[in-house]
Amino acid sequence: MSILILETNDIKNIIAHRFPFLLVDRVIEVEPGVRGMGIKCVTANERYFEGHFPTEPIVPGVLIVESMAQTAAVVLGAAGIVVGKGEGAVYPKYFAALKEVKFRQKVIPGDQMFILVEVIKKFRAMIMVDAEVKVADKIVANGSLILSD
Amino acid sequence: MSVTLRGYVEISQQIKEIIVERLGLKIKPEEIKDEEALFGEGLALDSVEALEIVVGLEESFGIRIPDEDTTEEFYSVKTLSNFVMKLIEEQEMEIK
Repeated sequence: MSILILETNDIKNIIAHRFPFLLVDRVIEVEPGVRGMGIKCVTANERYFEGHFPTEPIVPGVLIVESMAQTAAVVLGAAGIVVGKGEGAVYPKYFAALKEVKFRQKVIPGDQMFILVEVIKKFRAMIMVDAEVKVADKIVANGSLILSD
Repeated sequence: MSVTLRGYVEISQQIKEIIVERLGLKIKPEEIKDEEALFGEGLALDSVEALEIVVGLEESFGIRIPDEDTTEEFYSVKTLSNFVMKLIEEQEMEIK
């Protein structure tokens, strides 16, 4: 299967997330349905820095997890993997569970997150995905997500 | 190790351990009855837990569980053990 690079517009053709909640800019090394590497460039203009925190901008951990999930949805969607039977159910939309998610280092403006996701198993309406996020070759967060339709 | 050496008793015991460990249940593996329902009633596991069990079975037994309708196979530890034994046998044949 070919390895793809998906730019922002390609991503928007696969997942429904939009401003201010599209949290992956590009996905490279995409093996549809298997793995991929999301890229998210963090700028000082991110809206959530207004409140998180006014004197110390840090990317909220939950948004890093969201970036993992969006990258996973792109990888799955690129393979046309359908979860569930509902209309438009072409990618997993919801979190069903998070497992052993760890945040190891702060992510701040100027950082470029590399979000490696690997699909472990699809069974019925659930998909398990392992994810690891790096900034400058250091792991900043990792964990296992279970996504559903 | 061939499926003939790994009989039902050993496999069902291992499945109970996988269920308890992976799901973090507060019971002992031997408290799960072979014929008790795993989903709906009985242990009342959910679909996230089903996926957890599937991943645990694949890792522990080195098998691939198909994403097909396996409701009957996943009814109890007994049906699941027979299903796992069948998959081990079939997939060992494929390798040979």
